[in-house]
Amino acid sequence: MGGQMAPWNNIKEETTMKRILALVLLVAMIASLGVTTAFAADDGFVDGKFTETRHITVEIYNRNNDGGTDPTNNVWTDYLKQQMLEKFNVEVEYVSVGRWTETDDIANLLADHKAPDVSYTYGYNTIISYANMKDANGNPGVIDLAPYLEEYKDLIPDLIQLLGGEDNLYYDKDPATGAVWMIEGVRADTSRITTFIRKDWLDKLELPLPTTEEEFHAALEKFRDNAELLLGENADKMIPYTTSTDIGWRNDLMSVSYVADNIDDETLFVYGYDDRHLLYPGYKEGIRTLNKWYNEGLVWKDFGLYNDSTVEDDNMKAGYVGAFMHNWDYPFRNGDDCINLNLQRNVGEDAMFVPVDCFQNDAGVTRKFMGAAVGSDRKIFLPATNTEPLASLLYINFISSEETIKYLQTGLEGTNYEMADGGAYKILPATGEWVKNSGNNIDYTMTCNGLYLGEATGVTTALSYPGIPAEIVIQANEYGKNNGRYPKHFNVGTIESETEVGSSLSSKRDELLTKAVTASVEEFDSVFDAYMDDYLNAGGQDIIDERIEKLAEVYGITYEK
Amino acid sequence: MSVTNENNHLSSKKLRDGMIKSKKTKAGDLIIAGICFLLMLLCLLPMLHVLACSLSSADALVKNEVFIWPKGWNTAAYDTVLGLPVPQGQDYVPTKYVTSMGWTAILTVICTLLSITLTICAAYPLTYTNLKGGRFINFIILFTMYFSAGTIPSYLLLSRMNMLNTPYALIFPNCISVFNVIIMRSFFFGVPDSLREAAEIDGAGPIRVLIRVYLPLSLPVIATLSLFYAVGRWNGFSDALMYLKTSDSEKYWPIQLLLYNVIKNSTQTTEQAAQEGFFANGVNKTIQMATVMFATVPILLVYPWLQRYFVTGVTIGAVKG
Repeated sequence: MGGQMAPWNNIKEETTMKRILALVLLVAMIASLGVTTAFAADDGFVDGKFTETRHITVEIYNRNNDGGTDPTNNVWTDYLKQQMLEKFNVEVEYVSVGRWTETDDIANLLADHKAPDVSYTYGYNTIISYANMKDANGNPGVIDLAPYLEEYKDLIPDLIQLLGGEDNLYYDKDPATGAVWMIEGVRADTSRITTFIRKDWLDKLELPLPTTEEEFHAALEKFRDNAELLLGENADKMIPYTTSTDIGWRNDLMSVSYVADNIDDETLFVYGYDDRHLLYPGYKEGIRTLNKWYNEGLVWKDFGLYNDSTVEDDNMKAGYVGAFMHNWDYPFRNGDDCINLNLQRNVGEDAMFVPVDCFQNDAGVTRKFMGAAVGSDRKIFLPATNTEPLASLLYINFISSEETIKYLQTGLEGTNYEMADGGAYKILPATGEWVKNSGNNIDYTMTCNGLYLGEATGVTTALSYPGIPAEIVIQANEYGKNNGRYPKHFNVGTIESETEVGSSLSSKRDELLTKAVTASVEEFDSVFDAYMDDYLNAGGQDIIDERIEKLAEVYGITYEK
Repeated sequence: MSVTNENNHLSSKKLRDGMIKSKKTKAGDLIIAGICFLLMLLCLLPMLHVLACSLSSADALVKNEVFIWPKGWNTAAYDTVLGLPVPQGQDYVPTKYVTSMGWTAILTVICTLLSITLTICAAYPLTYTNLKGGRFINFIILFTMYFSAGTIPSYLLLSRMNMLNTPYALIFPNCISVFNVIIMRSFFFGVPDSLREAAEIDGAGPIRVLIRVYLPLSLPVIATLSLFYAVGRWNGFSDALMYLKTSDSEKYWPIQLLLYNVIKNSTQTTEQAAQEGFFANGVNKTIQMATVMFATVPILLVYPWLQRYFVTGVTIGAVKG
């Protein structure tokens, strides 16, 4: 403050200047913060490789199974790390997240700004809620991938191929804003639910494999009436047909056979919130039939008492059960402890469940309503804290390549598999460091769930169940998807009312179906309708209405209820 | 058998001394004893069932033939859980269950000691009616009983304090229970002021009064609350599930979290199976049962040691009436 050099006016001016400068700096700072997540091309990437080593963290599920390995550090992660470093100069570090607590864990990590750079979850809503959650500068909690996918399209060919085309890359693109918050994983094998029946019982009673609902029903009646012959002293334990409280899954094929074959895509969309098809027109009649069967003593009377499968599994293994519907490979899974092998040990060599396909709709077709190959599995996203979007996309592309998936699914020849006839990979039960913590290593192949081995897929699937005849496995797989109808994807963006209901509607659905099936035949309608009203009032109707609105808004389709 | 005992009891000295019970009372006693017996069965039968299952063959379990007596005697499940038998010429390598059991025992002792010390330290000053700001302190302590921050804020707090993935995450967040502080405070109120005043006249300060007067008189409540804390810690796993996530921190997993994983991996719901498209390979049911027994028995053994304090606790209360 030198006396004459700094008159009062100058001081005032200086202060004003300082203020303006501070303001400009502040605005610049805010503006720069505002664009931190906006797109900027990475110029450190030259000729398909980073010039300096980049570091990314990647989420991996921890199942903590007995005999398993550390999911963040094992032979599989070694392979992925080494390949990523060699190919792209990217260092990968794995971060484990509990498999059964994944949505909570991911929410915690996102809130803490420590979510892995490449994250995946089954919880669509978790991603959407963090995408909608803006920080002080208006930035969302996850990265909008749209500009990156556009810019780096040529660098992710394997991902595009696995997804079955570029359109599916933008599967979740918000129709209003154009934002892409996540990339969908692929369900490589869409086979879903198959009906199984005891072949040895049918033979004993000289019945053919049922091909229609009537024949299936007749077989169940015969089982019930011949309990003495089939089970001897355990005749009182006879269960002609077993199901669980998840009737939507466990009776699906029969239930949806009452849905008209000519139902249109829009109807399937409007009433398609529930993946168990509860709201499809005609579904109620399928449940009415099951209710009739229940009251005829054909359905396991205690099914409503248990919420896990152990007792039911034991009934199947002990040989008390005649038929059931479940995941297409249910009786074969679990190696030596699978249902069919247990059955052979407990009952006899010829005892086994075989697949049948007998629930025809009004057009005489055994129609199945499938989950889409894209859109119904895990979703991959990059949290806002990710500073390496390109390296992350390269990782996602790398694990989507046929070669990588093949290695992760098959492993080391002689240890994890041996080659069999027809180019099939016969998977061996590996132990020690080569053990896979998850079936087919799905936790590592995060964009792909199910065998993805090109032409070898079918033959390999057939050999994946030691002790089970290959033709039965192939048949069951086929019956789980033949005549399948895949939902048309109406991309209408987020449906708000769906994010609000959480899992409450699925438990209401289970309750509805359980109560309706176990009601007396006379009371069926009143019970079903009362619980359905409750379901609709609890959010079901809002979802239907919003889906109709969105259909009009985005596609200009006026849907008449 | 029980009727004979009842008769013997009735013909005892008390009866001869004139405490004759009416027929009505006798019937009432029998009914109460019967109800107690049923309640006891209600608690005991599931335990016996689990024990029997853990010692049965897998086939017997599948056929649902095991109730409270093992069928197809088989201790293989315990061998698996304990890592037995040790191969000849090799040292015993403890399984993760055995290691975790040791750690859980240490953790339980640390947590119980810490918790009970903190509970005493929190409760004792509140017994002083002349404590400055006593009402306010009371209020903020009670406030936490009704309002808590929720999962994510708690997680963020621990993260900021660098406690995630460390054993401290299992020790500090739940080291004091407001409910227990209130019980302790109420018990301290039961100690006559005159005792404290006498000690003070003799020159004792508040700490000496606590150690020499209050604590010796409060052993029953200390034992009871210690048991609450110990059992709570032994059976608790949700904090570890939430806060110990890295592979390095798995060595700090309490036994109940291992048990949770065993059960969770073996009993997937169809909901989960539908999500993944397949069922994961589970653990044999006998091993599940053996793990449950292994994790439960040690804490059960603590009860008999502390039981005499419960009885004393009741009598002390009665005399002071």
